[in-house]
This record gives sequence, structure tokens and C-alpha cells, in this order.
Amino acid sequence: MTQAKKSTNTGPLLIIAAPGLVYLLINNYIPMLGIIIAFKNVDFGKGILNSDWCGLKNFEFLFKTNDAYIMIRNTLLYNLVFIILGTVCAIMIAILMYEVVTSFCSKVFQAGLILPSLISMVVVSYIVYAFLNTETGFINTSILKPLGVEPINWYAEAKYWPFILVIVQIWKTAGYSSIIYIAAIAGIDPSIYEAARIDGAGKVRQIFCITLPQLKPTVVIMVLLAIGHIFSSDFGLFYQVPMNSGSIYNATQTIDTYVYRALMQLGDIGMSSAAGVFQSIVGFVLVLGANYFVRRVDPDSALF
Amino acid sequence: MHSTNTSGDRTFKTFAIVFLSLLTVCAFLPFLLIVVTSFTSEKSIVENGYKFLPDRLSFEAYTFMLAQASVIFRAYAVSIGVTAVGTAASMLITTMLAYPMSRADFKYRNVLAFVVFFTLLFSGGIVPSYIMWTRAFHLRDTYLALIIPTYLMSGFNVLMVRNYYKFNIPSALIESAQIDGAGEFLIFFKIMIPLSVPVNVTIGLLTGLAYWNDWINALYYISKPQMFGIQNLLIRMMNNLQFLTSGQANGLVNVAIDIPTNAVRMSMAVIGVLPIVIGYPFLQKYLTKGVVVGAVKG
Amino acid sequence: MRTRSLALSTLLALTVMFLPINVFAADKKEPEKVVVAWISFNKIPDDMGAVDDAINQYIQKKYPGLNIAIDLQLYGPAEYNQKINLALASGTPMDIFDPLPLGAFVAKNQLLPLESLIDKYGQGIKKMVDKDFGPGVMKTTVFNGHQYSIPVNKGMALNLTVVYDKDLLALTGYTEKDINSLQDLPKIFDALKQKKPDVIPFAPISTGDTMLLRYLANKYEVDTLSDMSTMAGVVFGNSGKVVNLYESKEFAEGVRMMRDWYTKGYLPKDAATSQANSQQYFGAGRLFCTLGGYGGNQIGVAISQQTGRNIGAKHIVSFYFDSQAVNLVTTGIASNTKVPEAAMKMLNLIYTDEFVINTMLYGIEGRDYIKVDSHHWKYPDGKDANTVPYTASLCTGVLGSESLQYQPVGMSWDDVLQKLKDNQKTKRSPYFGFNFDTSALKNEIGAITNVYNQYIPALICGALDPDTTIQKLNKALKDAGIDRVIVEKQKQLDAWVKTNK
Repeated sequence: MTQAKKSTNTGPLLIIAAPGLVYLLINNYIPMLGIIIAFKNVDFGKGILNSDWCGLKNFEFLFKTNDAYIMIRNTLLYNLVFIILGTVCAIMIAILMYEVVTSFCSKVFQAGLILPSLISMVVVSYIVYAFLNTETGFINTSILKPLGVEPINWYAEAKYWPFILVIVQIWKTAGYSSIIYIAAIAGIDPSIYEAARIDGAGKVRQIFCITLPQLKPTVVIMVLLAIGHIFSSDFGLFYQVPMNSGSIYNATQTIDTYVYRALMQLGDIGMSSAAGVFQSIVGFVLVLGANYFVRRVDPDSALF
Repeated sequence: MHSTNTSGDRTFKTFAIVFLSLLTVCAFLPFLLIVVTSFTSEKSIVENGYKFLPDRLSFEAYTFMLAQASVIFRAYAVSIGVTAVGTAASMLITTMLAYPMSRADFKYRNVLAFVVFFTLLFSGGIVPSYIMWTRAFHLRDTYLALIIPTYLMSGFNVLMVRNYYKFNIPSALIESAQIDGAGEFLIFFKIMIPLSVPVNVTIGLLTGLAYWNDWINALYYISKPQMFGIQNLLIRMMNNLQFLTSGQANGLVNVAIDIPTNAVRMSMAVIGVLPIVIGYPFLQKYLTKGVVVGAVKG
Repeated sequence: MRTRSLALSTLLALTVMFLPINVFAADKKEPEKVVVAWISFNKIPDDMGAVDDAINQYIQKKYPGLNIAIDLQLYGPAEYNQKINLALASGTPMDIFDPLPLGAFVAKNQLLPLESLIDKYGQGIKKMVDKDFGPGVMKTTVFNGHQYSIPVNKGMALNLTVVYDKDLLALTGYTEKDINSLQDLPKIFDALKQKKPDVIPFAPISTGDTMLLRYLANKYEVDTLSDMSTMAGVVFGNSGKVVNLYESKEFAEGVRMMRDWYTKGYLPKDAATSQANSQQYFGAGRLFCTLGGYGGNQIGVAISQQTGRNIGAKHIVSFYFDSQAVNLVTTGIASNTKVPEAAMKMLNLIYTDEFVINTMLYGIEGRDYIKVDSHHWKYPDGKDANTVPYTASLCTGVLGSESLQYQPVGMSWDDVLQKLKDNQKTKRSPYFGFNFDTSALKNEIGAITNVYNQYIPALICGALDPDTTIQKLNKALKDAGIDRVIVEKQKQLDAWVKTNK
């Protein structure tokens, strides 16, 4: 009987899936053909389709530079920290949100969740500047001066920036990410908690034994997706927040900022496409690997 | 739904409130600075930087922006319209795609999962998308150009909804409906959607925010000022300002301009966020009901 | 029978009646539409139809033989490059535009070679540009033997000028006569610091740019060989030898001077990264002087008006024309245009016809602007830039001929004439007209741009120790491939010298 069901429901299910699939085809897959631009020496006199192929030449600029190591290292490390720290913070916020029952408090906290994500990185960079600029910034005038410490030229010292950027990123995205976990927790059957409570389990026990395991599929998706983008970075965070200061490149140069700066004069469409393809392929391979690993440990949680 | 019993629980609850309060203050503080700075006199900003308690307050930034009030309100209307329509349409097709993917007895569920996921990683870039939308679909200078490209459905949302359907809606419900002879459409609309309020609200919120914050679609596809959304309008204005007051303008612009740049920048940030700040409390009713309180009944 | 003949004769009559009209209709064609996409720093107008119509009607009346019509498209600086690139890549009609940076568009073959079109329909442009600029300026947009665009016809000589606060200068006891070079400034700074310790003596004109490189290039007659943005590989005077500017003793001296200024407190400590704008500092009375490149003599007046202070300007080093000084802002025709001849005819009008360019800039006379005398305009009473239906008044420098453009009331016309005279007077590099083809060296240029951004702003603001940093800079440049760039530039330069001397 199950077999008969299998074949009869495929049709209707495909119809239901159709609008979404059509959109993906048009919005995502057809333009994906544009990836050929990364492998062409585009001459608009001939048009994109008729331009000459040039193999991997457009990819060279990413590697034939001393900055290659720095930019790849920075991109990878920052993303790793963002994934780990970001997930922990988002889950923490989501779990704690459920403890707040007073409607006024919870309303205020929820508003606080999305507020940072509404402010664009450009504006954020001005706020950071308000804190860190040498002459009039908060930290120098209101904190360091009273303590008798010499003002620090923040935008010239690379060593502070890993901390600054991580703080800014977590500030901007933790609330937004926690919304996803809040929704996931909302879907957990309350009777499980009831049963645990009756058995005498306290809050903390409940969190570790019920909530966290139930959140596993969500965490897996979020982490796998983040791994897929592990070679990409938020341009606003790494270019605008540091105010494009050259002295701190060691801590703020990522693949995306390098590509932007390199192509400012050249405007080469093949090279910028190549950079994107490179980032995508690396991410893709890593996700395949990670997904394979997850599938072995917990097949249900795997992406596909 | 979690009742407090032991003192350990009470400590935990107190910790939660304290921690979240701190976080909320951190979230609001920069925004407070933005608002205060937008009401500060430009001279005061240049001499003393941004301050929570500035020397001189002034409305000059808003007077400057008010001169373009009609343009700003028009942009609000466009943004609100695009966000509302886009979010509604998006929620529909996202959930429709997620449903079959969540059914364990659907032959192509893994294929679809891969197809959806792949789009999150690879992209052809703006040039091929632009060529397609403008030459094949003629979307240039239409409102559809603000709704359809990119934001109408995100693979991420699809996967989230799929997960919710898979893990949070008991399959027993679906099976009993099938036994009763219900077709897939009926199951989808009568069972899946009503029982997935938390995730519906979530993707609605995320999509809504994405539409509201978007300024890129208008940058690429729209040239008619009447159709600019608020974020796009503000980015253009900010860029113009930046360009005029930077040293670069020397070669191109022959007349000097006097604008309270810093204060205006902050006032632009306020203007961009205002409708959401005003409208959010109304939306929150649904959020609290749907999400935090929980909606699945065994 | 009668009906038939009646029908036939009616038919005949009708044909005869309509024949002349048909004949006329065959001769009268639709005017060819030319799309002009240009950059506007003003508010983008809601509706440009009225302005398009005004120009088109004028063209029909005055130049009936041309049969062309304009379609104006204005884009703000935020979107201009994007829109241009997308239009070119997708084949959306766009015929005339400003390619910035020129080299990139040539490399992608997106510009139409113009030589033959100029000879046929663009003679007016040539005459105009030669008159205002002196002959040979069109050479600067020639790449590989083809003319790819036309320089915007305006005052290009941005002489290095010390812009200073007159009231503060008066306090020091020195006068304008004492300011003749950068070396004269430290003693004035010292005197100022005695009187007013919290005024900044010298600030970069824009973030991270004290104009040191431009100063060196102009003072020592350096041709940047198409590379004003990174100056990797330049030629001094007429030596014919391409060298690394950053290994030169002039550069080291200049940077040491800036470092000296920085340590003595003449520059703000965060000069390399400060977002504060020199105009704003002037307005607050907190800045004494800055170094900038300006054409004409009116910049002191202009900045005074804007900042509310008494600002003076002293020209200390004259500009030096290399190709890129002139071809920074140019206008060209898209390589995929469907109407190349109409586009050139339109371009000719833009450069030579007073009505066309001023309507494009200021809109419709009476509605958008009022003509005050033969050379000046002002807004209609009660209106300003934001309330007139159409204006592009800030865009005088991106299109057409400055000698034809009206000036806002208050700006002296003599100053425009002075700027044009300066064009003719300014010394030209022996390699004026040389353009570097970058296609073989894209990787190196990308890497060099990154190295430049990393070290130069801080170096030229004196924030880093020159002795160690210049070494690091040059090592990084070598790793990025500057030697290959120099070799290639030398090769192309030698070939150009052979064919052009």
C-alpha cells in the first residue's frame, strides 16, 4: 500500500513544488551560466559568448600575490570564529528569551534583537569611528584619558582589529540569527519539558538534555551553510568599518576586499567573476565533505 | 510553557533577564547615538565628535532632509508596498517548495534539497542576471524588478521550513489525513501551514527585513526617481553628499556645497529605520503569540 | 458597370490625392535617437521629457539636416559606473557616456574608435578643443593608434595651491608673500602654534592624501604614464627612462619632510585615516592650511563662501600635463551603438552648441533657470537646486566645453578664461599622448594597487617612519611585480617615442 502511495503522490507534490522550482531555475540557474565569464577574456566587441577562452588565467591574480596567504588566512579564521561564537551566542539568546515571560520585557528584548540588523554597515562604521577615532573618539577621551593612558591610534594598529571586528559582527548578527533558533525551539513539543519537570529535572538540565539536542538539525543547517560561504566575507565589515585604512591590512584584508581593491582600476569582469567562482567552489567542496561527515553520524540531520 | 519550580530555576531566570538586558542595552546604545547625533549641530560634531550629550543640539539635519520630504514619503510608500507584496508572495512559494521536500515518501526529496542548496553557493554574478531580467523579461523600471530578483525566495528559508515540517510536525498527522483520503494540496493548506506558525512568522520576518533593507535591485534596474525605495534613495543621497564633500569632486564639480554632512548621515539612518521602529510593536503581537509561546499541540 | 467605374475612378482619385503625401512621407524619417548617459551630482529629476523635447525641437529648427534626437539619462555617482557597465554588457541602448577609468573600457573593447567619425561629423569638436586647449590634446585618448574618446573641454590645469585661513595667517606675522613653497611653511606653522596651539597647522585635503605625490609629480615634472592612481613606473622630465617613483630620492625626501611635519605636530595624529573633512575644519576655525589642486584663481573665494571664513589661496607649483591629467574625464561612444553617426553628430553639438549644453546643464530657461547676462545664470526667485523641475548645475565638469557654459552669478567669467589660458600655458610632458596598455599585466596591477593602498596614505601623511617603511614598501612592490610593469612600460614607451617623434 505504501508503494502505491509513493507513486500517486509524486505528481501532486511536484506541482506544489513547481512555483519555487521555476523561480530557482529563472532566478538562480539560468544566470549561473554566466560562470563562463570567469574563463573568458571578455571582449565586448565580440560579445560575451564569442570572446576567447582563457582557461584559468583570470584566477591567477588571486594567488600571484604576497597577500594571498594573508587574505585567505583572514577570511578563513574570521569565518571560523564567527561560526562558532555566533552560533553559541545565538542559541544562548534564544534559550534565554524563553525565560522572559513578562510581556513588556520580552517586547523590548525582541526589538533589540533585530535593531542592529537594520543599521547598515556604513552607518555602523561611523559609530565605530565615533568610539575609536584618535581625536574625539569615546574610548580615547572618555575612558583612556581619565585613566591617564596615552590615546591609542586605533586605525593604525592591526592587533586590535580581530577583536573589534568580531565584536561588531556578533553585535550585528547575533540577534538576527537567534530568531531562527527561537522559531526552532517554539516547535519543540512542550510535553517533553513537562515530563522532564515532573521527573525533577531543573532548567539547566532541561536545556542540555532536551533543547540542545532538539536544535541539532537547525544548527547543522546553519553551520553547513556557513561553511559553504567560508571563503566569502561581509564587504561592509572588512572594508568600511576599518575605514579602508592601509596600516591594518594584516588584520582586515579578506579575499573580497583584495579583489575590490585590485579591480578598482581594471574593471575586469572576468577577474571578478573568477574570484566569485573560486569562493563558491571551495565552499561547495567543503560543504560536500561536511555533509558527508554529518550523514555518517546522524543521517536525518544531513542537508541532502 | 516552562514553569519555574526550584531556586536553581529562579536563579537561571534572573540570569536570563540580566544578561538579555545587557545585550539589549548594547543593541540600543549605538542606535541611541545615531539618533542623538542626528539632532546635533554639525559644528559641534566636527569639533568634538559624536557624543551622547552634545554641546549644541540642532535640527539642521532634519531641516535639510525635510526639504525633500515628498521624495522621502514617496520612497516609504514604495518600500512598504514592495515589502508587503514581496513578503506575502515569498512566504507562499517558499512553503510550497519546502513541503514536498519534507515528505519522507517523496521520491525526489534529496534531489530537490541539493538543487535548492546549490543555489546558495553558486551564482553567475550580476551581469548575466541583469541581461536576463532586462532583455528576456523586460523588468527595467518596473516594480516587479524590486520584488522578483533575488529576494522572492531564498534557498535558506526553504531549508528552514523543510526542517520545521520534517522535525516539528508529527508524521502521524499526515498519515491519518491520507487515510482519510485527503490530497496533498489539502494536507498542505489545512495541516502544514496552520501548524507551522513559528517558522512562517520567522521567514516572514526575515524576508520582510531583506526587502526593506534592499537597495541593490533599485540600483541596477530602476532609473525613475519615483520608484526608488527608501534605502536606495538614502544610499544615493549619502553617496552624492560624500562625493561632493570629498576631495575627489575638485576635478569634476566647480561649485562648493555646504551641507551638514555628519548630522545628515545619521538622520538618514534614522529615516531609514523609522517605519520599522514604529510598525514593529504592532507586528510583535503576532511574533509573541506565534513564536515564543509556541503553537504545536500534540 | 457604372458602380465599377465609379469605384475605379474613386480609387484613382484617392491614389492621386494621397500620392504627394506618400512621397513626402517617404523622405521624412524618424530622427535617430541618441542616448546620452551622464553623471549628475544634483537630485535626479523626475521627468526629463521636457528637457529632451526642448533640445530636440531646437535641433530640428536649427539643424534640420542632422535628423537626430537626444534621450538624456542622468545617474548619480552611486550608480553611474554600475549602470554604465550593465548597459554596455547587456546591450541596452546607450550611445554616449563618460568612461571612467578610460583604460578599463578600452581594454574591454567597449568604446568605438572615433577617428573617421570625427573627420566626417566632428570637425566642430576638433576646432573647439584646439581653440580652448591648444593642439594635440586629442592625442591623450589614443590607444594603440585609435582615438577612443574625447577629453571634456575644460580647464585641466589644477595648479598646486596652498589654501589657508587669512585671519590665522595674520596672527603669525607672516604674509602671503612668504608662502612660495612647502619648505616655507614650517616656520609659519611654528609661529601659529605659539599663538594658537589647538589650531591644526596642516591637514590632508581628503582622507589620507596630503597631495605629496601630486606635488612631487608636478615639481619634478614626472609623467605618471597612465598611472596616476598608483604611480608605479614613471618618467622624470625627458629622460625617457621608466623608473620606480618610490625608489627615487625625491620621494624619500618628500616623505621625510612629511614625517618631520608629523612629529612636530603640524599634522593631526590620525591624518592617514581621519574622516574629518578639511572644509569642515576650516569652517570651525580649527585649520590653518591645506594643499590642493585647483584651476583658476577663484578657489579662495569659493571656499570662503562655503565655510564662512576668510580663505586665501596661493599657487605654489604649476601643473604638469601628462596624458592622464587630461584624459581623466572624457566622453566616448559605446562600441555596440546602433547609431554611430548620429551619436557623433550629437557629440559635436554638445561640444559646440551653446544652447544644447546649457539646456542639458540648467534645464529650460525661465522654468529652471534665469539667464542674467551673456555668461551667467541664477535660479528663478524662490527656487533652488531642490525645487526646480530640472537641474544638473553641478555637472559642468563632465560634459562639453567650459567656454560655452554659463556660470552661476558670483563666479567670475574671467576666471574661466584664465583657466583656459592656463591650459595653453601649462607645460606638457614630452610623452603627452602616451597611454599604457595594461592587458598583459592585470595581476601585477591588482597586487600593486593593494600595496599602494596599504602603505602610501600613511607614508604621505607622515604617520610611519620613512626609513624602515620605504624599504618595506619597495619590497612589497617588487613582490607584486613592479619590475615587470616597468619593463613593459619601457617597451611600450620606446615604441611610442619612435612613432611619435
